[in-house]
Order: sequence, then structure tokens, then C-alpha cells
Amino acid sequence: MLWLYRFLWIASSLGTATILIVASNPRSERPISAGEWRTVQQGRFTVQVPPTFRAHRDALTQMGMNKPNSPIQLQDAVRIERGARTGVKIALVTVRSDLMPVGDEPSAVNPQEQSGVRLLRQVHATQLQNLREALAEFKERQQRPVKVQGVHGLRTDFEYTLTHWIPFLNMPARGYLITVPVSQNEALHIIAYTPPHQFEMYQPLYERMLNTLKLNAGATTTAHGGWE
Amino acid sequence: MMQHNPLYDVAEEAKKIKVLYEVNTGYTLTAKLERFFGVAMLIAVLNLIFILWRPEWSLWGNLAALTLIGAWLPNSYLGEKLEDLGAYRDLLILMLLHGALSNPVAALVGYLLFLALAWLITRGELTNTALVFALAYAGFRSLFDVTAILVGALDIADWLRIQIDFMNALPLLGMAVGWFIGSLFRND
Repeated sequence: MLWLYRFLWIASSLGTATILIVASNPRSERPISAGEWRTVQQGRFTVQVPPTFRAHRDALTQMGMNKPNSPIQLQDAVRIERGARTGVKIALVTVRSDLMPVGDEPSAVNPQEQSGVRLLRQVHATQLQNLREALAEFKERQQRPVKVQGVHGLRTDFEYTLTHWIPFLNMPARGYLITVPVSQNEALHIIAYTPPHQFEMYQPLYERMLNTLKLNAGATTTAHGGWE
Repeated sequence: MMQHNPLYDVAEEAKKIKVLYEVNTGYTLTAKLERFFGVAMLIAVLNLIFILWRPEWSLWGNLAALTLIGAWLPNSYLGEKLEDLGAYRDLLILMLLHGALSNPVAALVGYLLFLALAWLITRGELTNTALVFALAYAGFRSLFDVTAILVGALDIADWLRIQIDFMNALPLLGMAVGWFIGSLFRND
């Protein structure tokens, strides 16, 4: 009987080695969005997510993104993630004008638009500051205007390190923050993050997710598909 | 001239018993290893094919494969039967460590540290029946996880992350159940 066991372990070991070689080929990697997307409703948000992503709306996410006495207060937040460095956080924030520092007066030329752009920049910068404090080795890369569902917003790309208690096992991550206005005193933060080598692969997936995002009671969409 | 040590005689007797045991079962250590890996590697390679086919179901594949490997462990005579209290104690410790650390290698390291500490405290009077089980689990689980990482179903950062996740310890529970069932069928 022993020759049979010997044959089995030798053949299986060769099979294992072959499978590991096949699996390590980048061409054998399965598309992440394979399978049917499902609609998830969490608090103020309704969004379609790929099958491998889980949606959480917990107190920790909300506490981590809110700061006391800040003019920008978090209303609701949801995490849609696949792992520690793969996912999207969506947060709806309110701008409290009574706590807002007094800044420059809006210029005479189109004062409403000037005020909107300034507010957007301010909200975006506040969230970037929160990220800078929360994430290790946070580095901003570039800032540029973007459009999400027809609404103009701001996007900042960044890199950070996911820390481990054994420093040797720290992992780099890449992501971006998008801020879009929702109403006169509300804005939406979208924080997306992935492993650096998979950034290009996940970006279209996150864009598709954001294009299906809807805000529930409390905000309405415009005829162009954006938010009012 | 050194005095005659009675412990030496006892140790020599113990060696003879071991030889007698091997004669009784007919398996040397090499034979036991070949018996164990002959079947366990076959189960493992089938699970690897399953992970390649359906990476999102890898948890259930791992559970099934490790349950079968656990059942084969006592029947291959490489591991002891699950019957003494010490083995149940070690299984509980392994389970708690795995749930608290969420990593098979970290759980194994924690268990080895516990064994070393307990061995020192009890001055060598400690059973380590679950050691072979723990080594087999950590090895095969790591192999399955490496495959899941290679096919993109698992991020290495998630595998390395130390966090409380008892769902991740489910395959360990499956292997323990397999070990218990396999022990019932071993013919001594």
C-alpha cells in the first residue's frame, strides 16, 4: 500500500506546484466585478455594489470621521469594502455656518458661485486634514476638478501606509478623496482606496459604484442626474 | 567514575516500547508521513483547483478540505487520537488564539509559546497531542491562503492583519471536528 501513498503525495505535490505557478500568472486573475451587482441600502445611501464587497454602517466609521466643534459635521457614513485597503467610504456632511470662521466676502461677480466654490474647497480641505491626521505617511499627489453624476467636485489623489504592529509588515495603499456639493449646506465625501498595484483595476469599479449612488430622504436629484 | 543513573534505564525501556509500538502498527515515522501526505495532499490539491474555480467560496472549500484532512490525521497514525483532556485544552487555546489573531501562523506561534511556557512551568510534564494537528492546520491553511492571494481573492494586507475574527477560525473548527470523527474510526 505504501507505494500508492508515495505516488499520491508526489503527484499531488507536483499538482500543487503547477497550480501555484498558474495562479501566480497575472493573466489568470479573475475580474473583480464578475457576478451580479446587488443594491445595498444603508441609512441615507442606496448604492449598487459588486458581490465581493460588503457594506457596513457602524458607529466607528462615523466617530472616526467626525470631530467635535468642527464647522463640518458628519450626518451619515457607509463603508463598502473588500478588505483593509480595498474599499470606499461615503460620508454625507453638513456645513454649520454658525461655526464657520469668517473669511473673505464673496466678490461682486457671480457671488453665489464664488461662495459655492469656496465652500467646496473648504469642506474638501477639512476632510483632507482629517485624513492626514488619521492615516500614516499620508502624501497628497494631485488635486483636480471632477464630475460625479453631472455635479462638479474636487478630487485629491493620495498615498498612505496601512500600519502593522510589526513595522516590517506595513503595507502601502493608494486612494483618492472626492468632495461634491449636495445642497447649499451639504456635501458628499467619497474616499476610495486600493493596493497601489491594483489602483487602475479598481478605479472603473468605484466609478461605476458612484454612478449608481443615490441619496435617500433628505436630498433630491436634479433632472441632469446630479444632486440638488 | 559516574554513578549509574536509574533514569537512563527507564529511557532505554521507553525506546524499546516505541519500537514495539512501531512493530505493532507497522509504521515508521517516514511511513506515517507518507500515509498522511498521500491523502492530505490529494485533498489539498482538489481544494486548490476549487479555489481557482470559485475563489469567493474559498472559506467553504477550506472548511471541507480541512475537515477531511483532520479526519485522516489519526487514521494515518501520524497524529494521536483525540481522546485526552490535554488535546481538548490545546484545541480550545488554538481556537481562541485563531479567533483573536485571525491568522493561522500567528495562532501557531502563540500556541508554541504557550507550550514552551507550560512545559517550563510543569517541568516537562505536559502532553502536546495537538502539536501535529496545529502544524498540519497552519501548513495547509497557509497553502490555501497563498493560492487565494495569488488569484486575487484575498489581499495580503488582510492576511497579515491581526484582528478579532472568529469566522476566520471556522476551518480550524472543521478540522477539529474531523479529528474527533477520525479518532472514532481508527482501529488500534
